[in-house]
Amino acid sequence: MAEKGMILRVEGMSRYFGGLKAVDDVSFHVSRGEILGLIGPNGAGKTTCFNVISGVYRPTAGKIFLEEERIDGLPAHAIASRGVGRTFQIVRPFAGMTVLNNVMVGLGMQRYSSFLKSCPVFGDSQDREEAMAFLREVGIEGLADGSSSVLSLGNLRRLEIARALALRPRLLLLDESFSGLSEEEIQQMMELVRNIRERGFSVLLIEHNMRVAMSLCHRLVVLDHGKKLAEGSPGEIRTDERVIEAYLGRGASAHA
Amino acid sequence: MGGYFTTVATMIGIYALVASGLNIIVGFAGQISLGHAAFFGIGAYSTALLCTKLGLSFWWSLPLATLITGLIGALLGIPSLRVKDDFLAITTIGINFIVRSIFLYVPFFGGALGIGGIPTPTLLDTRLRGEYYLTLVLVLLALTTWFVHRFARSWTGLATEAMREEETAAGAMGISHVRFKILAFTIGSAMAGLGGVLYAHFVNFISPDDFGFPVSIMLLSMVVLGGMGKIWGPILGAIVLGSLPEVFRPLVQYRMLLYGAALLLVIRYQPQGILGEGSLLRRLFPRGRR
Repeated sequence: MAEKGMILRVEGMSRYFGGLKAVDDVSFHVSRGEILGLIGPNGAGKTTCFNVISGVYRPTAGKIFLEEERIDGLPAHAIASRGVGRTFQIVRPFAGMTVLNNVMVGLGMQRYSSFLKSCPVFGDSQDREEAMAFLREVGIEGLADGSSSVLSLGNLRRLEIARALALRPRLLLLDESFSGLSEEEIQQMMELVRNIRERGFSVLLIEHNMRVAMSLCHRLVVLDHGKKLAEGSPGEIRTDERVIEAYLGRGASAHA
Repeated sequence: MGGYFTTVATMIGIYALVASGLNIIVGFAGQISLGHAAFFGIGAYSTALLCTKLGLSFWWSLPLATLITGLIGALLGIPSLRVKDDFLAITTIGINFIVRSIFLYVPFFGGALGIGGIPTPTLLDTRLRGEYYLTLVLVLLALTTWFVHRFARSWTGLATEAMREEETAAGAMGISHVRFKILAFTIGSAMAGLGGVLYAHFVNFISPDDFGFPVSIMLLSMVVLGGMGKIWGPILGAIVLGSLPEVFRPLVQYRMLLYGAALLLVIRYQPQGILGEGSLLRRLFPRGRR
């Protein structure tokens, strides 16, 4: 049984690629309404963690629970339809489609789950309004009818979030949604993620920008070489010797 | 209308229908198939056997053979779940050769002699020949085109396109690639099967070579030339590639050369197809999406 208030619980999760232990016996949880940050140096296994949780890869070992239900080993689409939305570090828009249709795809799990329901003409005014609401939320409603292939990186990251929100997820996984953005865009994006949390979504995010991770997340989990190095509030992580060493090397703790 | 014109138009109508089916697989679902003639053949052989061996009428055999081809298409679509791109192309070529060999070497299917005596359908005591048969083909082509139009505008169609654009992201949106790939192969094959039925009852005699690899290439050329993923693309492709050899007929041995040159020119200058995004035709007539 999962503890009350836990959205996601990961127990002893491992994923090996041949001899490489990309993720090695990692455990953590995400509480309801929490923003949990997954941080760590390059190659620490953060994205692999995301790919295992979202079903792109099967875990080599370990258990993953979404609330009470065990989801490890399920295919990606089954995990998504159970309420795990995600974005990608390297953005993956449906490039040949309009921005609005990108979001409409995400509405499908709610409205067109059965085969018969998915056959009639889609995109009635109710669909459009719903999809527009998600675009408005992320602030790109003005681009709705344009092609998604011409968006800037910042807007593509917003589109991916809108698309994931359209699934009405219980848990939102954001994979480096801040990377490659300007300072102004980062501020807007932080505001957006805070708003999303206030609307009741739980968020698990990967972030490289320490300042963003520290100010946005309630708790942080630090990975290094596939293992969990530390876990705690941003304040605890900031002063944790092992974390500083992993990031900056020995003798750097004085600067933290 | 002359008999010659009617015959050419009927064949173009049949190829348009079969190419529209291939467009579902290649254009909408993004799964390369170089073996579509196999399903064209399965439809034709199914109706030939149902009519000559079981004595079924054309009107019963038409839906049955279409259904059979759709089901076999679902089964032969399974490799697309395992292999992609070039490997899928080679696998589908293999399927084409295997199916043709079965027609050729299994005595039940008539061997190299094929199956003859496939009846011309009758409706209200009228034998559907010439213009009547052409009308039947065009009615069925119109119906399937309407179906493709509905498919493209349904959420199923949208999900299929999403899978083509980005399979991983589509999975993260809850779209099962198994479901939508198999669905695309089923619909596309069933349409090829329907075309096969119409072909068999039009020529009254079929043999394995009617459904060989060159036919698959021609069908794919029609889809690419017209515009992949466009509802009218394969129909235009069928009209162009179906009539070019006839137009160039006086040039005898040079006609295939010109046919090839026309194909190359389109691929060089209109890589998205005649009706594709950003093509000359679309720039000249910007209205009328899809």
